Formats: sequence, C-alpha cells, structure tokens
Amino acid sequence: MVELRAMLEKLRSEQGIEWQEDGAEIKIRMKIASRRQRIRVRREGSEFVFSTGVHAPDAMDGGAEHRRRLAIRAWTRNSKTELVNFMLDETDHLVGEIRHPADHLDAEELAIYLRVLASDGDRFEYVLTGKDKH
Amino acid sequence: MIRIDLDLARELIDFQGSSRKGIATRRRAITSSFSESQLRGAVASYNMLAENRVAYIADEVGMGKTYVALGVMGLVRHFSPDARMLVIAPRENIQRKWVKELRNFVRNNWQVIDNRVKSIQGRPARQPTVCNSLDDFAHELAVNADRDFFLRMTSFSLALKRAESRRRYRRQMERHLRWIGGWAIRARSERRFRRQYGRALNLLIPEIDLLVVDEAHNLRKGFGSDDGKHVSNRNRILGLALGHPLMIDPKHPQYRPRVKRVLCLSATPFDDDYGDLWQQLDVLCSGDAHVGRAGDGQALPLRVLACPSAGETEKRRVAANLLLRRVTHLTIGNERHTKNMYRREWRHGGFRSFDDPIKFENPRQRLIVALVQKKVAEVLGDERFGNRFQIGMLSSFESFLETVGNIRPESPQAAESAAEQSDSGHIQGTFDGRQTQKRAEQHGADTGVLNALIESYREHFRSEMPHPKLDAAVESLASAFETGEKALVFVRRVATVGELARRLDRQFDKWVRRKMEAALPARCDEIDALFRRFERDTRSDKAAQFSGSTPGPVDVQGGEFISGVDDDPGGRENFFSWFFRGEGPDNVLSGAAFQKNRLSNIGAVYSTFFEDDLIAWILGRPDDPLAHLAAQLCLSPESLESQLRELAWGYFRIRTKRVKGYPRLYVFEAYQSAALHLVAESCAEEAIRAKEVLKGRFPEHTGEHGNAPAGFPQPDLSIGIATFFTELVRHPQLREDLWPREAKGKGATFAERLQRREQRRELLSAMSRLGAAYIDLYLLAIDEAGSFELKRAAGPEATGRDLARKFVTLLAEQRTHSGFHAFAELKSAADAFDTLIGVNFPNIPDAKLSELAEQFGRGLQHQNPVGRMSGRVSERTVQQFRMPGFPLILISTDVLQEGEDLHTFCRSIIHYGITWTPSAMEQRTGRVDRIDSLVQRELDRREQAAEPEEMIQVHYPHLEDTVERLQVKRVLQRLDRSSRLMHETAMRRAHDPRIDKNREILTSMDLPAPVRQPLESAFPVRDEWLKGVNDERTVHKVDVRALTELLDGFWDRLRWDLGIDRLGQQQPLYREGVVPVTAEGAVGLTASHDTDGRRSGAPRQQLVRTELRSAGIDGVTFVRCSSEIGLLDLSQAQTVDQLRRLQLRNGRPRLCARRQTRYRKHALSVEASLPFDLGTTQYEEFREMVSRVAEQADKLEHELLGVDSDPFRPTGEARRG
Repeated sequence: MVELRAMLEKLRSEQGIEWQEDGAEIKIRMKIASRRQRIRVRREGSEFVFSTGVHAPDAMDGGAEHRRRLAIRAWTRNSKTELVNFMLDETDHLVGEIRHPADHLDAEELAIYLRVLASDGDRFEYVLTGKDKH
Repeated sequence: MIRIDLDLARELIDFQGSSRKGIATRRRAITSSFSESQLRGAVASYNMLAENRVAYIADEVGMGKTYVALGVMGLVRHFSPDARMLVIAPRENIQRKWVKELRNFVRNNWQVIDNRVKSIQGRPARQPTVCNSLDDFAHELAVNADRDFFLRMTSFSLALKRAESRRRYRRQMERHLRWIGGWAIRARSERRFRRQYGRALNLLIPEIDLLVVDEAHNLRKGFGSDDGKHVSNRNRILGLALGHPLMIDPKHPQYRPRVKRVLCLSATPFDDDYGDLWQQLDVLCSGDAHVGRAGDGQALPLRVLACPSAGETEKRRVAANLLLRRVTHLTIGNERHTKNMYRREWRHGGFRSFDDPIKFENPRQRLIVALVQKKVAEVLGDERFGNRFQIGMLSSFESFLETVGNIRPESPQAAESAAEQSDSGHIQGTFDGRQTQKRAEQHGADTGVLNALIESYREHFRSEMPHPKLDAAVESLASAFETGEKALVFVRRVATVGELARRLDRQFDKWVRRKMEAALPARCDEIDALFRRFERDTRSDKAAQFSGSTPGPVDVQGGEFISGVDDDPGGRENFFSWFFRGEGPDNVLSGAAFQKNRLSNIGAVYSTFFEDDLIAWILGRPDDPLAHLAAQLCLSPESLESQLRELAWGYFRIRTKRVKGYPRLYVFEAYQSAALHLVAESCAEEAIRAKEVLKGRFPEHTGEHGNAPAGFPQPDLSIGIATFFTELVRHPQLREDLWPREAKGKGATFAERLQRREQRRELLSAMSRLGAAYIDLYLLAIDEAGSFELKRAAGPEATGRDLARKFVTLLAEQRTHSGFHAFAELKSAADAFDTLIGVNFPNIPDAKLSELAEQFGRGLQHQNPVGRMSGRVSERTVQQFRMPGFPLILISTDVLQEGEDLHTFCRSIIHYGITWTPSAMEQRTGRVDRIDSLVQRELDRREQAAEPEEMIQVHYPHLEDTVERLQVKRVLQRLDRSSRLMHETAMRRAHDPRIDKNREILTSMDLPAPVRQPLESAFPVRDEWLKGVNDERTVHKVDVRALTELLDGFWDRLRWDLGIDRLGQQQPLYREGVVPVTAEGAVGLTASHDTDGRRSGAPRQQLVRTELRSAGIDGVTFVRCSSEIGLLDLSQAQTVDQLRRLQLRNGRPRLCARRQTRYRKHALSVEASLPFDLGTTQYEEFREMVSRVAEQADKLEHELLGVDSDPFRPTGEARRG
C-alpha cells in the first residue's frame, strides 16, 4: 500500500485526482467532464482490487428478473470492452472491478486502470440510471 | 487540437498507399502528385477544425473526399486518442463503403502502428460499428460508446404519421432509457413526438469530438424555426439528437449540444446561395460558430452566410474560412483542362450530331407531341398547378408508359418501412426522391391525362404510342452493343427504367441474333427457331418452365461445378439471360447448358479449358513436358509415370471422396500437383518455383502416395495438354495484350509474381465464361459441334485443343478490328487490371490462389446487357458496370446519384429525366468523372489533343419547342450559376423549383452556352492552413516486433511452467494451448503430479488463448487471455442465477457473453486483460492472468455443464449447455 500511496500522490499532482484513506481502503474521486466517479481500492490477498459502483439495488425496479437482465447486460458489455469486469456483487450492487497483482502494479498501469474504470463505470451508470450517484 | 504542418502529417499518412506501389511509372507519377494534393486537403481541413471547429471539404466530384476525411479522422485520433467519432453517410451503400474504405485506408495509407488509428493487427484500432437504425445506434451506444459509429441519414427519416409507429419508436427508446419515464415521449402529434424522440436520443449520445457528414448538402433545408414546420423529420431529429441549441430548455437539463467539431463533405455544398452552407451546419448544431482566417484572431459569425442583408463578398469571405475546394484537371496536349473543358455537353437535346436537337421522324410523331403538349398545357392551367410544374416531374417528358401512380398502394406498415429505407424517407411512387410535398405533383401533374391518352391511342391504333425522345434515346444507346461504349442513364420516373430497358433489350436481341447468324451462317434456320421459341417463352406466363425446375441435360458426369457459377437462376429479360444464363431452354445445347455441363462441371470435357499447364510453364513449356520431366529427374518414362500416378492418386483421394468416376478437373489437378511435387523435391533449378506454385495453387497437397486403381487416367491427359492459356502464350503479342507477363524487376518475389499472374488468369477466365466474351466462345463451340442439338456436341474424347486454338485465333482476328467483341472486353480488363482490383475486388490481393476463381465468379455472374436500378442499389450490378462488358447500359433513378463509383469504363452520362437542382445534376455526372476514370486514364498527360468523342459526354435529351425545353434551360442556367459561385463572383437569385410556363415561354428559348475557360477554385487550399507544429516526438509509434518477441518469450516460459502441451494456432500476435487443471482447480504441471512427481490422475483440460490487441485506449497494447466455457441459454432464470452464484464463489471471473443467434444461446467465456508494455509488464503478471482465467473457466465449465469438452472442438458443436 505504501507504493500505491506514492503513485496516487504522484497522480494527484500530475492529473489532479483526489484520494483519501478510509480504513483499509483508499477512496479516489475522478472527474469525467462535468460528472464524477468514485473508485475504491482494497487489497485482497496478493491482489489490489479497484472497484466502482454503477447501480445500487434500492434503485432497481422489477426485482429478481430485473437483476438477471442487468447481470446479462453486464456480461454482454464485458465482451465488447477491455479491462473492467462488470458484475452484480453479493449485495446485488452492479459494480465494475479491475484486479492486479499487488507486487507488480506500476504507475502507468495504475493510471490506465483508474481512468478506464472511472469512465466506463460512469458511462454505464449514466446509461442505466441517468444519475451521477457513484 | 493543435494545428500541425504538412511534414508532420506526412510522417503518418501516405495517400499513395502501399497497394498502389506496383503500378506503372506514368500512373505512379499521377497518383504521386494527387496524393500530395490529398495530404494538403487533409492537413488544411484538420487545421480548420482546430481553429474554427467546422470545416467543409467541397472538392469536385470524384477527387476522393472520403479519403481526405479519413486522413482528417486519423490525425484527430492520433493526436487526441480518446476522441469519439461519428460518421453519417447519406444511405446504406455509402455507409458500408465508408467502413470498407476506413479499413483500406488504415491498412494501406496510415503509416504507423500507433494503437490509436492502426492496431497492431493492422486494422482500425477502434472498432467501426455500422448502425442500421436509430434503435440500433441507441443499443450500441449503451453497450460501448467508445467505438467509431457509422450511421446513415435515412435512419433519421422516421415515419411518424401513424400512432402505431410512434408507439413502436417510443417502446424502443424506453428500452434503452428506462429512467426517462413514460411521460417523456408521449406526444400525439407528429411534430411534438419527433421533438421528444430527438431529445431522448440526445440523452444517450456522449460527447462527439468529430462528426463527419458525407453529402451534407442533403441537409440544406436546415433545422427550421422553433415550431419546425416545413422541415423534414430527418433534419429535425438529427438536429435534436445532436443537441440543437434552439431546443435547449431548463426543464431538460441533460439535453445539451453533443458535437465539438463538424466536418462536412460534398462536391455541391450549395446550389446558388451561400446560405445553404449555414442551413446545413445549423442542423449539425454549428450554426453559432465563428470562423476566422488561420491564426489572425478575427473570427466572423457563420450566421452571416444566411443573412439576407449581407453582400456576396462578405459571405464569400466567411465561406473561405470554412470551405476547401480542390479543382481537378487533366493535362491533355500539354494544356490544362478543367472539368468544363473535358466534358462535352449536348445541351440541345439530340444524340446524332453534336448539339443538334432531336429530329421528328414523321408527321405522326410531331402530331402526337403536339397533342400531348396541348393536354399538358390544359392540365397545368388547372388551379391546382397555376401554370407551374416541378422540374423533372412531368411524366410525359420521359415516356408514355402507364405510371405506377395507378398501382395499388402498399400496406401502411410496408410503406413506412420502405420510407425509412428509401433515400429520402419518401415512399416510392412515380418518381424516386422527394422534391415536393404535393401529392398530385409527386405522381406527376400530367400522369392522369397521359394515361387516358395512352389508352385511347392503343384502342384506336392497336399499338403503343410513339415517344420521339424515347425512340431517339434507344436508337443512340443501342449503338453500345456495336461499340462497347458504356452509358449511364438517369431517369426520374420509376416506370421509365423498365420501359427503356425493355426497348434496349429488344435491340440487344437483334444484335445478338445478327452476331449468331454471322458466326454460324449455316445454322440460320436453327437460330430463327431459337428466337421464335424465345419470343414464345417470354410471352408466356409459365416462368417455371426454365427457372430451374427442369432437370439439366443428360450428358453430364455428376453435378459438381467449379466454384461461383452454379447459382445463377437466369432470366427472360433478353436473349442473353434466357439462353446463356441459368439453366437455359430445354433440349438444346444452349449457352447456359454448354456453360454448366461442358465448362463448369468438374467432370466435363472442357473443365480444364481455362486452366494453365503449370508444370509445363515451370519447365519452360517444352514440346513434350512428360519426356522433359523424366529427363530432368533422371527417371525412365515408366518410373516417372508410376511415381506420378501414386502421388496423383494420393492428392485425388484428399480432393474428393467420390467413389465413382474420375472428374477431369480433379485428375488434372492431381497430376499437376504430383509433377510439381517431384520437381520441388528434386535438385533441379526449378525446384523453388515449383514449391511456390505447389504451395499456392494446391494447398491441399500433402505429398501422400497411394496405389491408383487401374481405371485412373494416365498422366498424359493432364500434363502437356492444350488449354486456352497454353494456346494463348503461343501468340506473344496477343498474350501481352490479354495476359501480360509480370515484370521480374522492382524487387517482386516469384511468389508475388505468381500471385498476380494467377489473379489475371482467373479474371480472364471468369470474364470469358460469364460475360459478353462468352458469346464468342460459345458460337465457336457450336460451330465445332455442328449443331445446337444437345447430343451433338464434343464427346468425352475431345480434348479442348481445337476449341482453344479457335478461340485464340478469333481473338487475334478481333485484335485488328474496332468494336465490341471478346478481345475488346478482355483487353480493357487487362489494361485496367489494378484499377479493377482496387474498385471491384479489394479482397483479391489477400486471397489465396485457390479462392480466386470463386471470388471472381461470384462478382461476375448474373450479367445482363442492360442494367436497371430503382428503389435500392444492387451492388452486383454496380460492380459489373465498373467492368468492361455487360451491362453496357445502366438505367437508374436517383438511387445511384450519390456515392457510387461508375467511372472505370463509362464516359457517357445521359440526363434522360432531368433533376431539379444543380447539385443533383453535378452528382450524377460525377459518377463517371472521378479520379482514375476511363477518360483520365486515356487522356491525362497525353501529348496528343483529345478528339471530341474521347471526352466525357453529357447529354440532356429533350424535344425542342416543348415545355421540356423550359426546364432544361432553367436547370442549365442554375448549373452555370452554381459553377460561377464556386469559381467566381455570381449574383444571388431567389430559387424556385417551379417553372411558370407562360412567363418562360415568352422569354427566349435559347439555352445558355457552357463556360469554356479553365476554372479556378474560389476556395483553394491556402498555404496558411498548412502551417502548424512539426514535432516528431508527438508521433506515437508502437514497436510491434519487440512486443511480439516479449510475448514469444513469455509464452515459451508459460508452456514450461504450466505444462501447456497441445498447441493450437501459434501466430506472432496470437498463441493458444491447452492448460492442465486438476479437479481441485490447481493449474499447471504441479496440478497433474504429486509431490514425488508421479501423475495424480488425468487432469482436466482448458484451452486458453492469449492475444495482443489494441482497444483504442490511449495507444496502449493489451494482452488478452480468454477461455471458453460453452453455450448457455441465458433466457433460463435458473441458469443466470446459478452463473451469478458461481461467479461470486469462484474468484469473480470476468464473464463475457456473446449472443449466438444461430443457437439462440450465449457463448460464455472468461476473459482478462493486461496492459502489455515492454518496460513494465512482467512475466509473473502474465502467468497469474493466464492461470486465473484457465482455472476459473474450467471450474465454471465443470459446475455448469458437468463436462470437460475437447478444447479444440468449436463451441457450437460440443459445448451446448
């Protein structure tokens, strides 16, 4: 995490991203034109997991059937894009994730991950909800 | 965007392109200067976009605006890698052409692999996505907006009159935007609905960095005012979707302009008013833009263009900061000829002698014309028309055939569907295209009275009413059958297409009959009987008699045919389609029967007629190739025969599984490949060339031996035989004309020369079998057979030698005669081979030799002497019109007006039905006046002055002393005015597409003379637009070789580490192999062995694929690893629920689902990717990714499907869940 913090600090000065630590997680705020997207980073075993929220369950209508459609939509979207894994998590949140071995993450990879995760997540959120909650 | 200079752009783009580098020196010089001009256009446009946000490429027709625009798009993407782009083409054929051209441009003209424009695979880095409707567009935007989208204008022409249609569009939109709420698109009126629909679509569209609009002049009616009255749905919905500022409303905060920069393309950006420019840009949300000169800081509002009080000079100054127009010219006789000088305009209507009017043949014609004039005058005098008519929209000007105005209308649903697909959102009626809102005018003001006259004439005289203009046109066009000069005819009335074509078909029938009688003077009675039968058949309604329902003639050996010739149903439009195509008439050795059963059938006697004796060629064409081969290989004749038989039989068994008979073509291939094999394996100096030929021409050959049965033919029936090509090479001059040898210089390898040699051979072969040249060949065959009777033709003992010799002799004779014959057709194709490949067969350069026959065959079947087109574009007819030979005449409504290249062999354009705007007229003429046209190839840089008939012929047929003269005069005046506005100062005049008959007839009937002075563009590419930064460091390049070497190293290590043993495809950018996985999920060598190294039971197997690819993300190369799970039915709730559970339980794999329409299921896979960089990517990351994907995919396959499928079996066959 020490190296990650250093890399984030560098991105703060170069690209103006905002980040802060929240317990075991790091929270990052990214600007995408007039919108924003939040990204969380946590460590799971030997990996860093970068994740962003897209769609919360309380906003969903249609119950289980709607969630199934959403899951298929996420998997279909995955097939047409690179990097981000969109899926419904344990709490039925639609999230986007990128995983990378923690020991081998470098600054260029981090910058790409944050940018792609934020823009893809924000676009998906907008298409699904028209809102900018995450 | 920062402005760039020419040198920097030159680092990135070469408009000459890699595909054109093999062409002749003179042509190369032309393309070299032209490509520099293209580059200047692209850089100036790019810099205008950087400076002003808008640019308009208004080059003359046929100068390659698409390529210039692709250059601009490339530059934008290279220097702004995240830029989103949207291209709007006028209609479907042009939309698809854009995507084709984009791929060609990236492959041939974009110089660097940058992962921004050109991916490491050599393809567009961002996937081009064609959208067939707005619904499709909305769907694709929701899936992934970071792609390049290609739309067509007709998609915006929603048919909204019916409530059911509006409901359908609403449902579609709500599916994509569930959150906008049902109230958002509820309007009951058409105008309010389209506003709501356009606004909703706007919500889905992300910011577009560059919008490219092809043929933007179509939008010149503008966005309209607040209420949008009198504006087409197309313009209105397009403007709303892009976020037109007029519709910004605080109640809809998410509605906003989406377009940052706009690039328009059109050779005819305005008719006779600069205000048209503003109207178009206003639809595209750029009406408020300001444009300034390069770098001088003074920007003028675009709105000036539409301001009635602004003067022409002021408007021109604004337009000059926006518009770029390059003027083409040919250098003929050392003089510069602009288009007005190398086009010969027949303005006075006639065809016979230059600029004479059409002559009336007899008093009856004159009387009929007078009567029709009187009736038309009476109709126009009606209060509905007020003595005025729409230009080009009087039926009587074109023909006296009953019009489709009388035909029962389609169902409303079908009509609406057609409206969306049609060129202008207009239901096809009497005329193609939309010019007037009035229904009576749409169907032709005079249609009713004309139909009554026709009926009355028919009743009284028992014949069709003559039409002098139609008769003169037919007489003139029919000369094409004698001369081979192609003609493109544009009409307005849909019915005229059929009527003109029918009359020309009859002329063709007469021509072909004369030809047959001249070739077979002893068979005139039989020919007469054939034509009588043809007339009976074409009058009969029993079409099924010849349309494939009857069995083929009996003298055939099986039913296998050479690729690409077996699915032509024939036709009955004319003698050619009845007799020479499809099945042909029964019980006669028709052209069709000879083609199908003697030439194209693999067992037929002439099946090798168009082959070349390749082994003889490799050996230097000795008199006795078998004896020469034996000597070369130091073998006795018996030993050679024995070895050849064994090898040939081995090949034959691979080639066919048939148990009866030995088809001649396969036996020929078998012996040819066997002989080539022996030479390739020998020490002879021809060994390397033999190996190349073997590899390219006979890819199935494995060198397998076998004991040939006694009945298997001897080698002398396949080696040393006579074919058309072996005979052709005996006539050196004829050979150079038709099948020129590929020069050895210029660094071309033998394989490359072989490739082009075979391409040329297959093209000649396909043309001789399927087009006009075939008539000559067939007549020789009948002459040899001595009859048209089915059984009398050459028997199995015939070798084809005589026919080949006769055909070559005939071609040699024809060589000394002008006119239209087989030699002329084949020679034209040989001369323009590179051009033809470029425009008609772009896949041929990359095709395998064994695929050439099929590709040429598919493109050249279904030929017709007269092509016809209305409603929609037939790609095949267009492609064939670009060839020499059939169709010699192409008759079309406005559907071919834009976008299609028809210039390769046509120099004559006939505006039979005149159209109403200068832009439309110019677009039509522009179909044949393009870069690399027939006229350019013949005349450019020629020292000798051009003969008048060598120029582009532009006809405006009409009858003098009729009201038609008025409309020709009006259109020519506007054409001249439009041209002056583009090239010099002109007066602005109010435009009205209607003609006041009484007023005009009182003024002079004289037609304006065409301008003869060289044209100079008023909007040239000025040097100030070519200045900008030149920093080579800004050019991004990817070191593909180093990346592939890195992947190579990683993969080799991985194979060892994970125990990957079964390897699939191993290509520089792609690797696949099978990874062992234990039931517990452990991956790799350790998975299948215990700690002592003993095997711990058979592991499961999982195929993994790793591929280097670009995703259009900032020039980054990714390595993607994927592994298939199988086909799953995701419409089943329990399957989706189970998959979700497994995804969460098994390490959250990145699941990818692709819809497989064929199986109505989804193909599921696990995929992961990683930025792949020389400096930062480490083997451990790569290994971790592959292991994880293999493990996760295997677990899901096991738990979902309960199987461990063979990894190399296709998903659809083996892995259905």
